[in-house]
Amino acid sequence: MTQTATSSVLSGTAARARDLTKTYGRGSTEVHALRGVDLDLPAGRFTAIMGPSGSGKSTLMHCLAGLDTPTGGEITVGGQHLQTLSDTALTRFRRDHIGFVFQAFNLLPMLTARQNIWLPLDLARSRADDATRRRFDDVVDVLGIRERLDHRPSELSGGQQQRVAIARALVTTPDIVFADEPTGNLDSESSREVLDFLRRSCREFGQTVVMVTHEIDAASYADDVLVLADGRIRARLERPTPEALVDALRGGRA
Amino acid sequence: MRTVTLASLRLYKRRYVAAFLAVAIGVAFIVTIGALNASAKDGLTTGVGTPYRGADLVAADVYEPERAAAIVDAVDADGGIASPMGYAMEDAGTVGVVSDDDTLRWQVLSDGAWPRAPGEIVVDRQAAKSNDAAIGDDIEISGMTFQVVGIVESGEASMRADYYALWEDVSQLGSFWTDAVLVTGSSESTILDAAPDARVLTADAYIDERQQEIFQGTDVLTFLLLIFVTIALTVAAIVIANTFSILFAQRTSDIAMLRCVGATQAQVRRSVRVESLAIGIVSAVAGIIGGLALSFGAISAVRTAFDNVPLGDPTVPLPWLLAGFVVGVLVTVVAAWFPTRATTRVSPLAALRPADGSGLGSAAGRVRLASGIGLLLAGTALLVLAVASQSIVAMLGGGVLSFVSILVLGPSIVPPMIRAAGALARPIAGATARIATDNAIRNPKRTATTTSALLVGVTLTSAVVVGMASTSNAIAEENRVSYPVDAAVGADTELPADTVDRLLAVPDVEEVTTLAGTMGSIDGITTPVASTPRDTSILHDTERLPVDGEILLGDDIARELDFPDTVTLDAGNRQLTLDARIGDYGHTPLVSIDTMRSITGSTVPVAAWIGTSAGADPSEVAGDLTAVASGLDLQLSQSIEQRGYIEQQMTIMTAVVVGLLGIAVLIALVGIGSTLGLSVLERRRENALLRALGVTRRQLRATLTIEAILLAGAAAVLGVAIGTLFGWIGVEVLIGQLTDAASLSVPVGQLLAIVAIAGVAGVLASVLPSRRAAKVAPAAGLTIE
Repeated sequence: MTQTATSSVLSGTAARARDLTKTYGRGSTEVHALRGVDLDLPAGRFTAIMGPSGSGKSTLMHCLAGLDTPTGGEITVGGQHLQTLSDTALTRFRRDHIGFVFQAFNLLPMLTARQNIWLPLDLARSRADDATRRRFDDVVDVLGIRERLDHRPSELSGGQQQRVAIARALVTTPDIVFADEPTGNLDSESSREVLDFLRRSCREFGQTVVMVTHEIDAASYADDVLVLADGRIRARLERPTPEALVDALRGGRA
Repeated sequence: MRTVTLASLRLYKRRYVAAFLAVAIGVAFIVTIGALNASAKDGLTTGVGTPYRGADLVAADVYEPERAAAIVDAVDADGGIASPMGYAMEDAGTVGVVSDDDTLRWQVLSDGAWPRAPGEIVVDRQAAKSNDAAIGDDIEISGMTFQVVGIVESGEASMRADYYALWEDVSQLGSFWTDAVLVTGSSESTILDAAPDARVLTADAYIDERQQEIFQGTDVLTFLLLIFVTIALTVAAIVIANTFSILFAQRTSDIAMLRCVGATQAQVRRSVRVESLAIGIVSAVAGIIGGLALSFGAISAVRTAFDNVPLGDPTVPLPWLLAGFVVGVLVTVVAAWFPTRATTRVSPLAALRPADGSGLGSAAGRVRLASGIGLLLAGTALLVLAVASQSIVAMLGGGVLSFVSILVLGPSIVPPMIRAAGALARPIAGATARIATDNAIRNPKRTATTTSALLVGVTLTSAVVVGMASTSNAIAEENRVSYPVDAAVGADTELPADTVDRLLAVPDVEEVTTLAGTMGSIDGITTPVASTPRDTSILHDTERLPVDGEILLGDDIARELDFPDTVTLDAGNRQLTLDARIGDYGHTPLVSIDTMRSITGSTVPVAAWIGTSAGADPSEVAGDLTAVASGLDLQLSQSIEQRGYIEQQMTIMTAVVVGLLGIAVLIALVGIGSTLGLSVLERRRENALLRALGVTRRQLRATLTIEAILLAGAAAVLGVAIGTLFGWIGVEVLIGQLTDAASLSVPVGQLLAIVAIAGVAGVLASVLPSRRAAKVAPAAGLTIE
């Protein structure tokens, strides 16, 4: 496997948040989803973000990925401050520097798998250079989806769809790949495969992967685990065992 | 983005059916009108030039036979030849002029010979067929006898007549109306000297003039047809806008995904706009092809079915094709404009939630409500003003404002109506009705937009129907006074004894009233004079019967006496001076009972009034009465055919207008079918759940059928109500200006038929969607795909 260095990583940090705050609603219905979160996501590592429902983990990921604007604080991804960007600039940044894998509905139903994978480049109207074409081949082979490239999503199984989504996320060599409950809809066999690919993309492609999950088994594939509760980071664990994770999660709802 | 746009079009092409059909129908409509316009112009003008081509000059605005004669003589003296164009209306038929000179003789001889001497006449082939005339026959015209020496073809000329004779003979006919005089071999000054009020043009200039007149006429008609096209296209625009907004609502997750992965708002917007442009182009092209086929077929069919209809070859001039194409594309793109803008409001976060797509919507906001009520008040005020001051401008303004306000307030008005209607249906259809009602109103904005397309069509149709019925009524009222008696017969001296029996024997004659009178002399003319009978119940109107000291004269006597104000009547040894007036009660001069009594005590039947039954066929009754009258040697005057003709015209006009509006209604119904179909796609999961819980296929289909009936029915009922109101206002403003007899006549039967048709059409529109809905397997929609 080729080792590809991501292009715009500075000082080994893929993404950073400082004093990140997100509040919804007003007055009596105000909800503080994030209360001043500080974190550094190291490059080339697989990070999992865990927490009970309502902990703010999804909101954290949305803000880091540039899908939502924080109420306060600073976000930097690949050296770029996100909160200063206009919607169009933010969109372009996502296109060129961030990859996404969601729980479901990852793919556009009218495009084939191949077209779905090339979508970000298609949107950027940039021609694929040799490096990118090689990357495409590598990713497709590693993920084992070559025979399904000309099928539409409706002709693929759930696991295959997730793999196509991962391929799309990886083909642009983004600074960071965000995965939101990527194994939520899959059976255990397919889940294992998907998590394995995500880990391999870290190991073999040097990709930074951030995964939000509530499954302990999934989190155990990660290098680092952040536990969120009540809009704050409660614990940071490195290569935790499942038991350690259970402890951290159970460690009281604030 | 191009890949995405093309792939979307390919995958979702069936969902665009409604938009496609709406534009295609509208464009086909335009193309067909263009074909009719060109074909009519071609047909009407082919023969126009024929008669004038042989002449150098044409004298126009001649009118009187005396002036024509003066021109002919002057040209003759000058060494040239002149032949008048026109016709005389005689009992035997129309009589025109055939020149004895080859140059100006434009008819074509098909059998026999040309007239060479006075007393000879040729007959047009078609007139020969219908009058059963042949070479060698004798024809009597205005007291002169002619012998038929030949049969001619008049071709397509608009100045054709049944018979043609030499000018020497035709100039004797007092009823000859001169359209123009063909002249060759003479000068303008000669003509103008003989007839200073005439206009002289070259033959070519004259032909151009006639063509322009015809073109103006066809253009006016074309313009009116284009108004209906505009209505149809407005409805099409509503359908397109609705279709696109539903489609984009269903693709929210796709759009959100694109935004996540890096498509900017501008890229997304451009992509959906390109989609709408593509749909517009494809639909417009289809409409052009369809329109060409339709117009070609229709015109050919009409020409084969009817012999002398003035339609030329079916060709569509290029400008019409281009216009149709441009209009089709424009309507699509403009109608899709706002829905495409709405796609940019989709946030990327929407991709992270599983697609809800159940199509729920919010009710009308406060701003919408306020502006709607404002418009309604303004519109109503204008309409009240229009009725009070009979101002057409106020009526149009008020009408448009009020209607727009109804559309704006739609989401607040229509759902409650549907809920009420649904409640009525519940005793019959149970839970199915409740599901259908809920489905119909779950998205008030979408419901309102779907019904608004049909609302436009139904409102206009109802307004037209009510307006026409009221107008017919007003005309009938007028006719009652103008034609107070259906028919009347008059004798030269005395009515034969069996007159009444023979008249009553005629089918559809209901009653006969005899008029008694005596012979007399009016300013020297010997004629029987009748008196008003005691029983005048047979008359439609008695306002204009003669009073004492007055006499009503028939047309012919009045004309002979040169329309006098007073006449002297010698009758029964008395001489009376009476005020004279033209009467509407038959040919026989009429006086009041007392006037007659003062003349003589002994009277005999001299005339009779005839009353026919209401539903009689005018031409049949008139024909029968003519036969009886001539058999008894009586003079007949009747107004049945005239009134029948007017009624027939009104009916035809109403039918044509309703038919043209029907195109708009058709488009609206396509829209309803499509909305239902798209909704079915959204409700896949719900319907699967229903099936899983025990709803049968038939019940599921029924929910869609009921939903369709509710939607179409609501639009129809609301449309009929508003349309009737608009129709009444229209009658008050437009007809109230012309006659006082303008009263509202509501053709309840026709309006109920409109509602019924809308309901049936709604059912038809639901057939395909309901099949698709029922096909879903109970488990299918329950898994997250």
